Order: sequence, then structure tokens, then C-alpha cells
Amino acid sequence: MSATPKRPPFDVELEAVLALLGDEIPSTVTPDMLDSLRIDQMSLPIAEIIGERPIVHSEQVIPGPDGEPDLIVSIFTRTDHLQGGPGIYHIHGGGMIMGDRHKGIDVVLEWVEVMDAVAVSVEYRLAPENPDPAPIDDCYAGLVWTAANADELGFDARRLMIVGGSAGGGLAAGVALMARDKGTPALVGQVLIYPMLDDRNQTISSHQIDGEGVWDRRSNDTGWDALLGDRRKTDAVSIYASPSRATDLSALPPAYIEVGTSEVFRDEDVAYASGIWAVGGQAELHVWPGGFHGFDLTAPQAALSVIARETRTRWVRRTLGV
Amino acid sequence: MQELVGRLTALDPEASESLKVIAYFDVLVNGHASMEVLLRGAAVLGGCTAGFASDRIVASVDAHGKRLTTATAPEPGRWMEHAVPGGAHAWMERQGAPHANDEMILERLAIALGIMLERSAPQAAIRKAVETVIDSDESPEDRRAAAARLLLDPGAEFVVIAEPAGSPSAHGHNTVVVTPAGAVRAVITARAEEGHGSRAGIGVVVHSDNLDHSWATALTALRLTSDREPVLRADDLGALILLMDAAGSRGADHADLAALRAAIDGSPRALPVLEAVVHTDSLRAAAAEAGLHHSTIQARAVELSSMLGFDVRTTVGRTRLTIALGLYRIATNRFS
Repeated sequence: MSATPKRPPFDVELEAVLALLGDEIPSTVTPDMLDSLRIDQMSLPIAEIIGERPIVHSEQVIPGPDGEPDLIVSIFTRTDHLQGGPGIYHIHGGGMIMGDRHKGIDVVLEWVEVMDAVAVSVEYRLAPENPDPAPIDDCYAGLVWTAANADELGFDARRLMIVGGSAGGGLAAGVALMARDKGTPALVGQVLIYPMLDDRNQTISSHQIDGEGVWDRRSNDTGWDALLGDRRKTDAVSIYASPSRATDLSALPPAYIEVGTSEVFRDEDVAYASGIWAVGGQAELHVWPGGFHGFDLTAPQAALSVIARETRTRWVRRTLGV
Repeated sequence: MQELVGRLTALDPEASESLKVIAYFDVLVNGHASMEVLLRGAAVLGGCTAGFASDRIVASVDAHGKRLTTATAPEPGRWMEHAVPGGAHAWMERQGAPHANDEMILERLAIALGIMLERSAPQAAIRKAVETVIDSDESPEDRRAAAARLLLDPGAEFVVIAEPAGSPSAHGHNTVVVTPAGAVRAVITARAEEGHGSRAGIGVVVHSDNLDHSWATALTALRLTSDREPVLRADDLGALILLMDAAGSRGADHADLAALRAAIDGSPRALPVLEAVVHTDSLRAAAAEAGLHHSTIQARAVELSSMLGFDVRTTVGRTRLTIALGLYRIATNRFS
């Protein structure tokens, strides 16, 4: 078998952060590490994440999928919120196996603050304890509830956007496909931040990140194996669990897709944007040079992270019309 | 995935994270990070503003990684500072008690900035390499590395030329060194060239790993020059170089030098007469050179011999006088 060419180099500022945090970020996540990683990666208390921002947080228990347990969602609004603005539905990352609804919420809180959006973040069930379709069904149920309660939550149901990073990006893409196929709810946009889209793990980029960087190909195996078990890499995997398998990407809301050049998901994410364009859909694609997986959150002060975040927020603003 | 595991924020104020700090800046230096990236690294790690000031630029970045619009450097001593090679300095604006990693962060920042500046200014890099290669206090390894940076052929022969710093800028690799005799320019040149200004000391011929020796002899030769002999070659001075080198570094105060000083200070004509005596074979020739009558120089020689305490008309006396004149040049020549 032929050797995979070396990955594009990391951005120097980001690489320095990897050198600094190397022992806190294992490149390779294996199933036996899950228990300790879940503890290590628990979010800070939400009040600490919100900090001084004029944002109120509340929690609500909502109905789960048919015949399944209830779900918890977090709701974020400005303290001086005005009715009728945009809504944001957020799905956290964590490889389908880790994380909670406050992971990565910082990105969304910025939009709550500057656009007076109402944000809902869903606590979906994690694999391997709850394999597919539990995560995607939970996420879809949360979206349905959010859209149905737009008035109570205080946003305009016609301006609801879905956003997720990493596994949350994959789930957001899957939920957008499901909403399209079921005919509801309506979405004005999907923000897919380095989304985890393809259980097959067979692209060039998925081979280029192995034993280094963040979330390497073996970590990706760990996540997908946990989610799909024996069905993984077979025809029994749905397009909602693994959106790269969708052969029809038409009639989707406009997509914002971003990914780093130096991460496993690069090629599947670029291909997803190409697939949307191929059928006349709209997508904005950003491939950040030298970015490793999750770089903007791990090194938020780095120049590339600042640019990525600003570019994303501009798209959201434009798409929401605020 | 695990994007939030190791979010980069300020290091623990109490725990020393030296190795991580070093690793962090090493990657930035190896990756040719810009000044702003280096400052941001220090500011974010330290959780406080970090800045840099040279004669050309002042810049600082706050703990959130934002570049500040800074017009002037803070007053000296206001914050903890660290010198950056080239007369610049870096600082960290720590409010309150210093943190465990402050010193390490600031030191690494300063080193990284120094390397960045050297890279961005090739002339400065050459000057630095010349300084290293002629400095006998540097290790042989460092001098060899500097010679390699200057692309000096290890098999070829070179000389170092010492000239007053203000002489028209020399060609070839050169730098200005502060010496006991003032500011002197060291020029490394191939033996074949030997181009030099009107006042120069030319060091002994060496291979590139002995340029420190050539420089030492060049400087001594320069310090021995006079209006009469504005250019001196160390190779022509024989063992006098050795003697003067020892005298120059020890700060000579021999009785012969003291007597010579007194004689020269006592009479404006003493120096040209003594030089004429040293440089000619007879008093007759010395008289001709000094533009004096034979009987006049005869009388002056007797008078000066009595002041010096030895007879300058003898061979031994002329040798003592030669050495004393050398000591006098070493003690009085100043360059800029």
C-alpha cells in the first residue's frame, strides 16, 4: 500500500499551543480512555462561562423522541431581550461519546450577546451507552421542541439556525437532512464547524492525521465504532448518522462549513460543500490553513482563531439579517 | 471532539511550568513567528500585557491576545524587563505579586525576540557573527559556527584589520567593537585583499578558527600606530606584539613609560626627536630626519637620556626606548 503524504504543516502559533498543551490533549482517544476523558472534559460551571455578559441561562426538561426519555435543554437569552429576533439551536461536540450541552457554547453566547438571539443547547444521549439513532433522534426532538416553542422562547420561528462543532457539526448536518426529509422544522442556515460527517474514515486527510494533532484517525474510529457498532462501514448506516453518505444534498438550508487543513475531517467537509454546490445549493466553505481540530477553541487568541471566529460570525449575521 | 480539553489560558500562577514555556517558545522560534505572535504568546501565557521596545518600534499585546496601540515604552523600572540583544528590551505588565512563570516567560520572550530581530536584519546578524568570531571569550564551537555563518572557507587564510570606527566604511565583514582604545572597527578580509584605510593595524594571517588571535594582534598593531607609522602589520612587529599585547591588557605603568611621559610632556619637540632616534641608524641620520642640526640633536639626545635614565645613543638604550614608545602609544592612542 502506498504511503500517505504528510499532512499540511500546522500554523506556527497553533503548533506552539500543541507543544504547550500536548499532555492534556491526547492525539489518540481509545475506548479505555473514555471514563477519565469524560471527567476531564466536563464543562466549567455555566455561570463561569457566561461571566460578565448580560445573558441569563435557564434549563428546561422537554419531551424526548417518541417512547424515549425526556431531554434537558439550556436556554440562553439577553437580560434585556426583545421578542422576535433570531433563534440558534446548538449541538455540542465530543466525538459522539463525550461532552455536554455547555461545551463550545462560548461561540453561541457571542451571538446571543451581539445579535440578541435566543439559543437552545440540547443534552443528547451519548454513545456507546446510547448508540445511533439515540443521539440524532434526541437532537431532532430538541429542534422540533425549539421551533414549536419559538413564541414562548422569544424568537422568530422563521429565523431559526442550527449550529454545531465536530460531532455536533455532524449531528447538525444530520438533523438538517432529517428536517428536510420530514418537512419540518424550517431552518434558515446550518453552521457546520469542522463537522464529523463520515463513518468510513477513508479520505486522505483521515490518514494524514494519525498519532498526532487533535482527534486523529484512531480517535475517529473510537467515536464511530461507539456510535454505530457492527453497522459501521455497512449500508445499514443512515444518512442522518453519517451525512457524507447522503446522495441527495438538495433543498438544504444555506450552509457555512469550516475546517482546518490539518485535521481528519478536512476532505469529508470539503466534499460535503462540493456536494451541496453540485445540486445547486448554497454553501460558504472555509479551509483554515494550518488549523488542527478545534483550533479556534483550544487557542482562541491565535490570529487564525480570531479570523475564523470573525468570519463565522459575519456569515451568521448576514444569514440571519441582523 | 476534545476541543475544550486544553484551552490555552494563563498558566497556573503558583505552579512552575518551565518546560512547557520553553517548548512553547521553541516552536514559535522554529516556526519563524512574528513579533506580534511572540508577544501574544507571552501575554496569553502570563495573563498580562507583554511588550517590546527598540529604537525603531514599540509594541504590546494584552492578555486577550489583542495588539495594543502603544506609542511609547513604559518608563524604565515600571514593569519587569528583560534586555533583548541589539539594545532593545521586552517587558511584562504584571500587576501585584509576580507569578511562578513570569521570569521564564519573559526570558524566553526576550530570547525569541532577539532571534527574530537577528533574522529580520541580516546586517545585524553579520555584525553579530563577526563579533563572535573575533572574541576569544567565545567558545571554539561558537566561533566556528559564526565563521560558518559568514561563509568563511575553513581552508583559506584571513586577516583581521583594525581601523578607527569612524574611518570610511570598510568592505568585507565588519563590526565595531568597543576596546580600551575606543571604538574600533574589525574587518575580516582575505589575505589577498588587505584593503585598509589610512590608519590601520593589520593582524597576523590565520585560518578562520583563529580569527580571535588575528584580531588581538590587529588591535595591538593599531594601538601602536602613529602619524609617522599610520599602518602597522602585526607580522612586521615581531615579538613586540606579544610584549605590547601583555602591556595593553595589563595596563602598563613601567618606570620607563613614566619617564617618557614626563619628557614628552616637558618638551613639545621631544617626541619627534625620540622617534627619529629610534627609526634611524645614527644621530646624523636622525638629525636629518628631524630637520635639526647635528649638534642640536646631539645635545637633545644627551638631555633626553638623562631625563629617561638610560642612554638612547646605545643599542640597548634604543631598544628600551622602542619599547617605551610602544607603551606610550598603547597608553595614549584613542580611536573613535
